[in-house]
Amino acid sequence: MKTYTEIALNTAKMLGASYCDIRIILTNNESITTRNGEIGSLDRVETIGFGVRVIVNGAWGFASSSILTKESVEDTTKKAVEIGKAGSTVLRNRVTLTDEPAYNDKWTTPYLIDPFKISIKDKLGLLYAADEILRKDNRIKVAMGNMDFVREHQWFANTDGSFIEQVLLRSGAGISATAVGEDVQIRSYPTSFGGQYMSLGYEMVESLRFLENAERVRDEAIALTTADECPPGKRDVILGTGQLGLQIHESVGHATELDRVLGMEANYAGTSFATTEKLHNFQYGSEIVNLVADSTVPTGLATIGYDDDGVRAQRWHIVKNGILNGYHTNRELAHVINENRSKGCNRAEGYYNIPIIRITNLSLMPGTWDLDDLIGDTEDGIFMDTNRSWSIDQKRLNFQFGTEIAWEIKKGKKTRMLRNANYQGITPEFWNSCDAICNENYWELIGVPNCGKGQPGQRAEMSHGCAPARFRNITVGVGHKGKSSGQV
Amino acid sequence: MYNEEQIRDIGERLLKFSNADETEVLIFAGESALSRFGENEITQNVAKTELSLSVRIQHNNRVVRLSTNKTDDDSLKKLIENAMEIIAFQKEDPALIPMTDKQEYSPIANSYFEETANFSPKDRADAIKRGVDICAAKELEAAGIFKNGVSTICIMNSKGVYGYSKVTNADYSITAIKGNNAGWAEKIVKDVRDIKSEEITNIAVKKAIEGQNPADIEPGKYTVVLEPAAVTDFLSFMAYLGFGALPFLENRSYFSGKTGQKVFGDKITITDDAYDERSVGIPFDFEGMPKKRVVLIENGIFKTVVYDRKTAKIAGVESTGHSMPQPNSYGPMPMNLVLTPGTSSIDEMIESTEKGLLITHFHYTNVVNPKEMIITGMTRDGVFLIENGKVTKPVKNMRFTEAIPNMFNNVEMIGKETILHSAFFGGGFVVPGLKINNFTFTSKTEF
Repeated sequence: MKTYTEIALNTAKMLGASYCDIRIILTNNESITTRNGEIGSLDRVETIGFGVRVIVNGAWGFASSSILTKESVEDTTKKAVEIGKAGSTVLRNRVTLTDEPAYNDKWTTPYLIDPFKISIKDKLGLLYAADEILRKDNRIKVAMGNMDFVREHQWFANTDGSFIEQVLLRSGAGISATAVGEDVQIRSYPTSFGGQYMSLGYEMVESLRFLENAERVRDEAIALTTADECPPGKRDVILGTGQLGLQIHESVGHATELDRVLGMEANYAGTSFATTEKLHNFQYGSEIVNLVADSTVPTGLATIGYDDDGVRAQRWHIVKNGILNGYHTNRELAHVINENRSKGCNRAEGYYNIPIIRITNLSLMPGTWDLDDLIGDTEDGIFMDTNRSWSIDQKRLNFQFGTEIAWEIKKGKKTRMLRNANYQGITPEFWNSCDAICNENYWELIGVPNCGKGQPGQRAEMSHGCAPARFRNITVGVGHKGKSSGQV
Repeated sequence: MYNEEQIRDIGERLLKFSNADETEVLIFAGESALSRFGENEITQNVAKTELSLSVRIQHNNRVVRLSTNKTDDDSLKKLIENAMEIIAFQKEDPALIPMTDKQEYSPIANSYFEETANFSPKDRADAIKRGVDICAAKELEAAGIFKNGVSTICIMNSKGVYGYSKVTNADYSITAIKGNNAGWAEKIVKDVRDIKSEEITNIAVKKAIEGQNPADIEPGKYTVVLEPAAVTDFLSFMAYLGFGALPFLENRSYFSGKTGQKVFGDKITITDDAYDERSVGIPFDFEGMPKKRVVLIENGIFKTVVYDRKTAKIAGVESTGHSMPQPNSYGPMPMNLVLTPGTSSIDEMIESTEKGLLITHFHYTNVVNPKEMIITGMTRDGVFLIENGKVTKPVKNMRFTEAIPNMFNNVEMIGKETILHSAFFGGGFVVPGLKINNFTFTSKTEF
């Protein structure tokens, strides 16, 4: 691969580029879906290609190709330079990159079992066995199972002297049951929208124990169709990890991407209320709220050796004792907040996209509570778990989330099951209402495999660690019947 | 850039290498380029050329799909070998539907424009500069994109199916920002010559300037005038949640059991029409069936959903030509919805409103309840109070939570002008503006 990378770097330099990097990526995907005892999809994909990024006349240029030959690398690099030159005609500030040492390294996701070596027969066998349990009651109209595996073999080189090889492996799997009765209700395991995803091998799938959980999933979906609707009002809310992970993602992760904060995503994903003058002085949450970004945490979906700027993985506080303490940054923008090194958050989907700032693994640090004690301490509340719906405004302030399942808490006891539960809030008010977080025994990483951002749209993966936590006096049951204001 | 001959050659070579009972290949090829700007300068400038192929094999009543972007003979042979190896492990499905027989497709006019395909990085930069200069002169920050591209889809199978479609697209979108508030405008076209970046920029600039210092407003029920871009989310979610045969047959769709019933107001007619010249259509679906024009809602009465061959067989009807790549777990979907325009202008809608809100578009809309088609989202980039037939002042953004059937039952006026809006899988929706009564806002935000 060095032959190709050197052609790109040399060509770019000869054409006047002040910086160049090239990423060559060989990707293998396998995606299996079962639906009601049949194959929903079974797709294996292998792609190879490369992307060349240059800075010329102070402006970015980028071009990519799926044809990996010497001629193609040279032509694509020329195209990137040409594009950069065109872009430099509408330029206010020349791109400058923070310093990063040159690395010559290889980094691989640690794993035990290569998922691509497990037979399709075994994978389908497990999904069909779970499917059979899910459909033992004819009120279940849709039983789904899925497994997804991705291996990205990347070679990165830049004109700073780095040559980095990485092999990233990610696995995901889940099951769900949709019951149709008086209402249509879905229940998923271990969490929704495809289940759990981690940087691990097939051992992750085996650890999920689908067959031991399928009966509960089925029965909860059926029970939800006749459960009471979540009543509207103000209640204390305890969020389970299957919901809290996405709350972190949407209301803290995206809000602290520095490109958004600076307005560079204003036309699509939006901006952020967490503007730079608030750094180190804004009360984002209560004092027990500590949110740590960590590209090194084992099994995290964004756990990497190096980002697509060639910056080594790091760990830092985004919110420390409730105060806004940092941002997700890259080499281009770190200097804007007077930092002399990027936090290593620049990532691209595939070889065909330019890297942009992405949330890394971002986790709420555990507290001290046992979950039973926390429920016991709650007089009038709702326990909500497993995300079903999400929406947040373009500055990441007003959000509304729905969950698959909820239970009412009365006088310290978990009581009736509730369907169509949702809650709404304003980000800083919400995090400042957090008064209890469960301890490390309940802490787990929740994978987000499909975070969308950018134009053209790019997908990225990250995980969010959390334990169940309580939030006081939250608006719940938005849009549900029985309320004059806000009734749909 | 791959031409039809090269693409057909790839497909023919692959079919030749396969000894399976039935083989189908979908080839996606194209060139796309995008210049992105923020803070009044170009921040990203990218281009990509791509070709990928996806092969479906059916053999001994078993099915598998494999995909790659490698097109040399050895890679294609290896792809087929891998497919045959995997397929052997699968259980037999006696109900597996044979692949589509040879079909004829009607051409779709005006879908490819050389000017769009050849629009250069410099052309994009020049257009952006004209927009950015307008913003800078008014002390506004501009962010947005200019993109153009060519998308080619080819389907071939071992039973003689051959379909080839090439379309162009271009999109200029701009957000003009002043302080905490912004204005937005966009134009999506097939012919890039229809994009005048100054005109589009001026719309965004006007909204940004007039949107300064928005007043507080309380959530509740309002009459709303939705500009066409604000209507798109409702059509997109209805396509996904309600108009496909799979949720319909499984009683998961709002329309399940409602065939022939009045579900929306009299003024509402919605068709799926790949042949509408305002849209961007493909004349075949992803299993090679010809696309049919389908009337989904006629004068408020629900008529039908869209079908692929599998769901059509279950329902005892004919496919409407709306298959997604098979096999799949989500069923057929409409890709070319057309909400029949009315006779009103947006100005007439405003003039007829005693008290209401003018909405530019929505942000991050998502599903609250799929069966009832309740969705939620935030207003964005320009919300204005209408009083006594006039726009009087900007107001802060709010969150709506609304059932789509409620909304389409409360339509008072329909716009005569439409926009083209991108839809999933390369489709496009044709959307007018609407005036709607009793539209529900459930919470507010700080800007």
